[in-house]
Amino acid sequence: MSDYVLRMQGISKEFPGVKALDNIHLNLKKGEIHALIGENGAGKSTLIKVLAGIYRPDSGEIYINDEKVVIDDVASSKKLGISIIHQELSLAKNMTIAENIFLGSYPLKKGFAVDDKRMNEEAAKYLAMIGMEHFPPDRKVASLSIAQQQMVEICRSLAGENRILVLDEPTTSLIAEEVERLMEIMRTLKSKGVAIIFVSHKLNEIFEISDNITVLRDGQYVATEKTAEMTTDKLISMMVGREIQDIYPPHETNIQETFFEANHISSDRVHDVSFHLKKGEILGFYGLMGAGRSEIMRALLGIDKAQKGDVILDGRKIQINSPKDAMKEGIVLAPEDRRHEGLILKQTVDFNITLPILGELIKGIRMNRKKKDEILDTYAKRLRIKTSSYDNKVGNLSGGNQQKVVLAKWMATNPKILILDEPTKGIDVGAKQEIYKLVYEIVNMGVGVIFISSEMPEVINLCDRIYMVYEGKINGEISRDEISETAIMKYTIGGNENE
Amino acid sequence: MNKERVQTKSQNPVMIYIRNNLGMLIGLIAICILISLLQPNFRTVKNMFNIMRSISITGILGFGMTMCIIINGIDLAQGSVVGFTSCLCAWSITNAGLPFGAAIVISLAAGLLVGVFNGFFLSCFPLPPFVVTLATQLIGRGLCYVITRGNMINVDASFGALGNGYFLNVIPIPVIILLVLFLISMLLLSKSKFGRDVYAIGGNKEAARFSGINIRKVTWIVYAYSGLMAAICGIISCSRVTTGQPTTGNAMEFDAVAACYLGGISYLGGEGRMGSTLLGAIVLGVLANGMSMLQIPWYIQNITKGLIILIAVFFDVMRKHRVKE
Repeated sequence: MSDYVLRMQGISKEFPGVKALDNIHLNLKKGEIHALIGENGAGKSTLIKVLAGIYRPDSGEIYINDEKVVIDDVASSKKLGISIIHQELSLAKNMTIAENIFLGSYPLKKGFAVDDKRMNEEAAKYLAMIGMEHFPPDRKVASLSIAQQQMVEICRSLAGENRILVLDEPTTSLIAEEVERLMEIMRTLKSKGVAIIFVSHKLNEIFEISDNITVLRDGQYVATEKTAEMTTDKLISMMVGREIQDIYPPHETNIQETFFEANHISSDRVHDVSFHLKKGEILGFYGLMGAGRSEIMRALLGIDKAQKGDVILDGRKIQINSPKDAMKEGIVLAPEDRRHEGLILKQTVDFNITLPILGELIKGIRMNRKKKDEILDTYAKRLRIKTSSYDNKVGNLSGGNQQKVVLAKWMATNPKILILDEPTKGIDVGAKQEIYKLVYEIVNMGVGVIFISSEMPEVINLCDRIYMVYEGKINGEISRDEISETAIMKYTIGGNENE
Repeated sequence: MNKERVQTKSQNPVMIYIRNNLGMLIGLIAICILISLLQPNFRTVKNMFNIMRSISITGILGFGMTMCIIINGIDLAQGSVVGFTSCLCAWSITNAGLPFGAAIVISLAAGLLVGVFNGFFLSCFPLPPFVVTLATQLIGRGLCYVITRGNMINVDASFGALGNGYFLNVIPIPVIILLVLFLISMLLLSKSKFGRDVYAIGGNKEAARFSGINIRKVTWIVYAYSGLMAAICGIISCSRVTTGQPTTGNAMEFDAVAACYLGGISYLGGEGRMGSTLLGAIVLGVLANGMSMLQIPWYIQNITKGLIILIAVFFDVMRKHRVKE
């Protein structure tokens, strides 16, 4: 008998159009903390969902204690002693802390009634383990902060006899002190023989706690190495891996004067952010998911309540209280979630592109068809949207083409500043390349582009200047000639130059 | 992490009930005082039981509806299930010549079956509850006319004891049924594992799924329960007027929904208690009874009812909005 509690062998999973996992291996020993890393979209979460019984793999085998198992559903995964903390909070906020800890498997009296007293007592024990003893277990989860909710989630995984614990980015919204406590809990569990899979973007945490590291990239297995034999540089190059130069076409930059300035923006999740933008510049905002990149833009455009200092465009102070004001000034945002916020999927290409400029096209009840067709032709052609007709529904286009429709829609408004929030998320490499080319073309027309991304190779190769965002603040600024992966990593995992 | 004060609130269930429903209780008492000042007959014990009897059907339907709303659904078929089962009950007794007991069992089974039918579509396929139960509503209403051929079916007067009789000569039997079903529904929702699963699904379906809760099974039971409640109401209706009429129960599901919302069941699902629904039904009953006694025409009663529901939901939503911020 080998000493592996879990062996996942040759796991593959395909979604329509995407090979999410391709022949992945993961071996886990008793009492081991195993870090699983990779860029966004590398397949970490998919692999974990396979283990959780949420997805069924197309091929591959899973062994628990050398016994071959089939994980059909969540219940069978739980029965095998696998406990998972998912990336998105999965709490029922309408219920109490104790109910959430025992969700679906509450202690019962006489097999029928939920034993609230015992449940609360047990929950209090677990809460004490993670330093939340001053929280009454019958308190509603909705009244807790996000970090506290995350701790409740961790608490949930302590309940029950679990052999394997999976933490999918548990530290994203925790403060340093809480992360430290979590590390302590992980060490305690490890000493009790629990095997832990730890997914994190924060390399310092991985080096601090893990025994082994498995790297995934684009759904492929890269390698498994001992943490002690790893270096940050080696790890990052394994994560990024691909020949990135090929994807990014060469381009000429024509950066002119600074024409936009935003000073002292603050909101709930943004803390005193100031930045400026030059004509013809691609300005990157890099940070991990949830770092507050989108929130800065939402605050700037008046979508979220915010306090702002002077906002200056072309030497003139402007007032932006809503996205509509921003549009009038020529500042437009293509939001991150293009399927919900950027497009109306059930409507046609025509409908979507002309939506922001209907005011110009319709006079009274008459639609200026000639002008409309002109605009459609210009932008659909310029952005190389592949569709047999403008009457096709946007929902039927590929992800890359959908993103082009979003770009066309905003370019048709003749913007001065185009803000792109994760424009290449969820589209394939070929389509990404197209989008990059279009971004170059757009800046060459003298537009300033703000490019928000959490993909490092993208910002490194595309942007002329990068702001690093961390916990709602700008943590550093790097210009073209200083851009490197290590420089960026250093800023985005919380460090700064003074350290 | 903030040190937060442990709140010491009373754990007495009566106190909890009063605390959770304070607004509605004050409203109810205010309405009662107002009506009794204008119309002294309102205050009699007999009238109180009359009110309770008048709301027994709304209340019972409300218990089923509460569970549907908590899991983010709705059961629009309830009213027509009341009609269908009441016609079926009358038909079984008069046309088929079955004993009362058998007729009741058949009707209950029929109601349960309709619930299972709804539950099948809603738990096995991602169909919207509004549409599925609307379709069932039409089917059910159609069946009423199939059974009765569009006429009324008269039932032997002795069957009327169920709907018109009294327990110990004071408490109407439908009120007893209402209270028993209230007790069962309340225990089921607030004490059982099933009840917690209902709240979990309503609060966060993904979380429930990740926790290994059998969403399909719970959804199915919820709609079956709602169908069963409607069947009980159908039998009471049939007995009350000792006839089976194809129009029975028309639009009654909306009274049940009104009772739920008025009581404070969250329209977003995940929240609410049986006690609140019962209170909502009582408020509706008191309003209807009081306004009738004051000889306010029925159309004005409808306007008043509509406004009160709007105001109640308005305050509920505003309160939640504040809590959120």
